[in-house]
Amino acid sequence: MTSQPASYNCPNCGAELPLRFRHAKMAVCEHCDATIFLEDDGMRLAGTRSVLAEMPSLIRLGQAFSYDSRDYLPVGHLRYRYTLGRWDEWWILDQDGNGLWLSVDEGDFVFEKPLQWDQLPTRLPAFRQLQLDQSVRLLEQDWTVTERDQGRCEGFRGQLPARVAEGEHFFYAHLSGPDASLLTLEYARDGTVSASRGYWVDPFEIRIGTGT
Amino acid sequence: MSTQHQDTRPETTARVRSVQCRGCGAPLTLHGGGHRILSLSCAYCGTVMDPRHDYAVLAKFSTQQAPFSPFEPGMQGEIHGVLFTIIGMVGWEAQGDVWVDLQLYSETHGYAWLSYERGHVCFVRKTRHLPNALVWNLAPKQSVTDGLRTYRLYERYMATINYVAGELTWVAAVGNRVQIVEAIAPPLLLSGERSSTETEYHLSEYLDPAAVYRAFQVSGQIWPRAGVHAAQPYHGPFKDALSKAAFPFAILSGVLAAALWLFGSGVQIHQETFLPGDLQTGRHSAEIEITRPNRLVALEMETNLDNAWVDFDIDVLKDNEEIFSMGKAFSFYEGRDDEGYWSEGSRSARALFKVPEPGRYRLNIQLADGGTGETGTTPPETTLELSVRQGYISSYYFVILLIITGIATLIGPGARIAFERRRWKAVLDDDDDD
Repeated sequence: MTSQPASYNCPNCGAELPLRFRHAKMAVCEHCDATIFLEDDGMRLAGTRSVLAEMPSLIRLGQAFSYDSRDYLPVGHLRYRYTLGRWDEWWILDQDGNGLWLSVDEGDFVFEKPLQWDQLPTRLPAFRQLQLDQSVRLLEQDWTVTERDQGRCEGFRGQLPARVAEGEHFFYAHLSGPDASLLTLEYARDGTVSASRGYWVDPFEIRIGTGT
Repeated sequence: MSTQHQDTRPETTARVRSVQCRGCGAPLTLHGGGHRILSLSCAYCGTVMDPRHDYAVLAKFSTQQAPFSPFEPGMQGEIHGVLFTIIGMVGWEAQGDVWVDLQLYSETHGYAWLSYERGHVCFVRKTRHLPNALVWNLAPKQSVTDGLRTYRLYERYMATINYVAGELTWVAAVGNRVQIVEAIAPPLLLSGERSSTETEYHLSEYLDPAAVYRAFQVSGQIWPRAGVHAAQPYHGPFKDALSKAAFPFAILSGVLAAALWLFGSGVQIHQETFLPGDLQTGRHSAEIEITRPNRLVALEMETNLDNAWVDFDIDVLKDNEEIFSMGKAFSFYEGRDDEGYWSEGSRSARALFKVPEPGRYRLNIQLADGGTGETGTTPPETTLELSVRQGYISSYYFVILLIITGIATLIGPGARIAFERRRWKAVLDDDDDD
């Protein structure tokens, strides 16, 4: 496996792409909005452009914040549409350089870490098997299905840990557990299932910094 | 109000637009309440509409009457540095009390409530740190935790909605009943609301009403706070400061008073007994050698009075010349009644004086007046045991200082206890009634 260099230049406009984390799979050029796939042996201009409308948000790309005495830096931003409206997903790096998702939907903030395959049970319930208010036992814990819907990607910017395509959509289920914990199961159209586990965050406990 | 110094003001203010009420046609102002709004209620005719289905009419409650509230939909203000817009309003009643919950919306921080009751204001948000379900079965003052802090159960009651207006994140209907449980850790109040379909928990924070009025630019009639709110923190900075300042002085004066009481009684330099005959005619004592001038000399006197009183004239003599004179009264009564033994007065007394120079002194003591029983005017016969001590140090002024500083020390805690009694009185009285 070839490790990525510290920086790339945008194949579209030539501007430098300062990659903030080693395992970025996708980046949007800050200068020309070109979407670039980062591959082990180089990069590829995806050719699509994604422009997200500016909306009021506590979290801003490149603006550091702290929560519970830990510092975080948002480096990537996705916006999804679902039945009720829109929500934002921020790919953030903690002070040790580890990545996690911060989901924001009208004041509901959730920190979630993607679970690796070896952390998941061998059989996850199919999306159609999950019903609202249903109790599910997963990862040695009881969960309650509190939301099930489908999301469609409206756009993205910054640097992301996985390839995402505008318009791509998937089904998802939120499973709520004790102590403000949350498990999200995502069902892609190609049949793959991914999971993230985290907890609800009080936005009033988030302290916005001034640095980047 | 601002406790977080961060720029969270949305880049755009709430988007205001209007729709027509499907019930009465009145223009209804929408204050941009986000995508989780489930109902819009007309303040004029009580029609409840569904904003997600073209404002279809869900219900109509024409008898509702707007409750008093200094806040109203459309107002904007900052709470903890976050700009909120009031988008809806729900009136409640329970056990004779009425209050108003105002739905808040922030484009950055989502939904919250401002609860107004009798001049008290709380900032209310949904909590995901839930208490054990046993909270519904606890008695007042029993402890419950949400994992973050410990609360004491305050009360349980049924509440009924009597008014709805504006945009709400739930379909509120006049007449809906909700069971509520409240536990407090002032200024916080953890509440559970149980309806026929769900149970939700909220965390309320008691706010300074004046600061909230300023933040939301409330004008017009503002009612003063009535009573003590369940989540209201005790606030007595002057009394607390007074108690804090007085405490070390109370300790110091107490220690000094105790030390003087134990070690300040001086040295006995003379002891003598005066018989009844001596006192009737007056008699000089033996010579008393006083070596410490300008220091207190204490005369400790003990009589054997019984249901009688006497006045003695006491002269201090040097070289048979009177240099000081004083009177001392004794009175002692005792008996038995329906409640048992009783007594009043004392057979003993202390007199203090100073002499200007060392030397030999005498005392002349004579009975001046007296009586026996309740009305007798004949002076009783009594002996007088006299003990003279020099170098006596009085703890009187330190005792007075101890009393004053002790009272000052207790003012803060006392006010706090009285405040807590008022906080719990309503619910504990209700509990007693049950």
